[in-house]
Amino acid sequence: MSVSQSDHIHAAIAARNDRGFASKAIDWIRTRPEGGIAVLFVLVQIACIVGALAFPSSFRYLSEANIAVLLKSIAPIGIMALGVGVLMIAGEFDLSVGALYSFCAIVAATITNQLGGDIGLENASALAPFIGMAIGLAIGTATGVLHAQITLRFGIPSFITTLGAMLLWKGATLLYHGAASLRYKPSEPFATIFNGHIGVVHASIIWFAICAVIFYFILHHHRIGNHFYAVGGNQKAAVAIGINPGRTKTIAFAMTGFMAALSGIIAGARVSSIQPGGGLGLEARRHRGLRDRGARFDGRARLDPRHRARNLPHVHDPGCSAPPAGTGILLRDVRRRADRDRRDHEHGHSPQELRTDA
Amino acid sequence: MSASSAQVEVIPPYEPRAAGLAPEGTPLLEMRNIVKRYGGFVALNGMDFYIGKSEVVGLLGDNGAGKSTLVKMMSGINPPTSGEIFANGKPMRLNSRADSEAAGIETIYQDIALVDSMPITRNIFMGREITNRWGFMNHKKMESTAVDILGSAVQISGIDDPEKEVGFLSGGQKQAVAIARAVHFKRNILLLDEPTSALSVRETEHLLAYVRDLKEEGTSSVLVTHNIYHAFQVCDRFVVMSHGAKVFEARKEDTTIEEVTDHVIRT
Ligand SMILES: Nc1ncnc2c1ncn2[C@@H]1O[C@H](COP(=O)(O)OP(=O)(O)O)[C@@H](O)[C@H]1O
Ligand SMILES: [Mg+2]
Repeated sequence: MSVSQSDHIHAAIAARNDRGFASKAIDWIRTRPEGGIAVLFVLVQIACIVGALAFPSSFRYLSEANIAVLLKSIAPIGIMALGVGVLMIAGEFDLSVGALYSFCAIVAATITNQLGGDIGLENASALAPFIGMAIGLAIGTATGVLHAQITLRFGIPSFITTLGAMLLWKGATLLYHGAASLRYKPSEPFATIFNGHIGVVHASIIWFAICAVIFYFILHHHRIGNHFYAVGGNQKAAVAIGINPGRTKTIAFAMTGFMAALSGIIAGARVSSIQPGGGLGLEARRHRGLRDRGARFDGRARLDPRHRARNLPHVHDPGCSAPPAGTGILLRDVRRRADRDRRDHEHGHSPQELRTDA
Repeated sequence: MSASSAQVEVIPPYEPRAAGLAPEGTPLLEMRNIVKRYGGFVALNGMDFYIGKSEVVGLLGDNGAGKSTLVKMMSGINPPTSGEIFANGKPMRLNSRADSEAAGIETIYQDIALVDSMPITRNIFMGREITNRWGFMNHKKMESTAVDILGSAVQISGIDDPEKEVGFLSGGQKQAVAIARAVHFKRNILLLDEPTSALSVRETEHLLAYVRDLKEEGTSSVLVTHNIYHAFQVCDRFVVMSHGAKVFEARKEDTTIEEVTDHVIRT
């Protein structure tokens, strides 16, 4: 047991630190999972930019408007993903973030409006939006803790718990507010802090960047981040070494709930209104689009099929979180029916009656 | 063993059932009449065990005898169903890792207890990170300590970079990291649950020598092993378990390899 045993380790560390920047980068790409993702991201960007330069009129990827929209659409999803990512590192999953996103935003907006924090009011309360936000975030956090307790106390897989929770919070949103969209135009200075601009950069992107930096430090430099990795990587080992997995996972769930709420509030502030179904998928938008064009909404609608085909959203709403799996199937189905109707129409058949799921 | 021919043979372990040795002085840790049930299955059935000051105890027995169950109990992650536990003569509980840590117990688990997706350094300091007062980790200090640990405690073959992920290590190297970790944090008692199962001959000799050295420094050990020759190299006392109970106990000077082997095989 001579101390000289450490020599070759010191040598190896020195060799690792002495690598050139290029070989460091290559090693990072080879060994780290995020390295591969980064490469893929860069490749897609290159392809898009080349495409934009080759077809400047038809593929306006580099237009200022498109870049602004892209950046904006990253923010809410990104903020939510930070929380979900931490939870996944800790070995659990939360399906209810989409529902929570709507619920917490609705609560924040309702409280803001009730306390007179709407920017349209004379002498609007400057404090009200912040109170609304604080309560929304507190509910998100508390909900995360609740999900953790149910999951951990009863030993239910979090996939199951939060599947139930998703339906619960969806229902809670409708119970609390109903299905109509809610105006959310908070007063200053809240509006500038969460809906201002610096050039093309929207405030929500700055908030996302701030959150990302904070999460980086928590995950990679704080003790609790180490515990997230340990508990998610090998829970038995973590327990054996004295980490309390219940406490660690509860913190991860709470962070997820908090970030879902934050994401919902920031997204709501950006579009000035909140849809109760906003975080859940595209159904609400689609129905609204149809209603705006005078569709009867009594469960069965008779529509001009050309209309319907045009109204179907082909692009995902930036303000929404990823839609649940079922939505995609539903959409595809509706789109296919619309296409068929259009064909029928062009061949002189009368438009078919279409059941909508209003 | 060779019973007088005319009489019914008495199988030794069953004759002085309550046998066992009385501890001399106050043991560091003593467990009396420990029962551990997993549902209907009784893994420990009235087990008595103690660890004296500056001694190495060999814990032997066939697979499934309950050795690991007892080791995990002493590490605090597997609380007993019933029974009494004393540390330095004072009653205590072992209901969590914090309890055993307070008693100065450190463990090398049979199932290694490392996280494959984390680097060696992070595994060594898992749950015991060196942090500032806000909980942020001091990576430099952890790395330099890890280098010292890996280089000095047990000589581990072929580990050159403490930032390497444990998942990339060989079985023996993993075991060596687990040993290095426990050795670094050990205080009063070191529990080694089949620590040599994946080690090379050289590493095994090194570890056994280390356990002997620890005794001189005042750290007692419990060595669980299937290799009775290893046990005889370092242990002062042998405890043989079978079906969750103690069936034989003797000091090294009062027994032989043959006798201990016989008890392990026949029970
Ligand atoms: N968590 C558990 N649940 C049920 N039975 C267990 C559990 N852990 C251990 N056992 C059983 O207890 C007995 C003793 O196991 P163990 O202490 O690991 O044996 P060994 O002496 O080989 O280390 C075995 O029969 C094992 O199947
Ligand atoms: Mg075992």
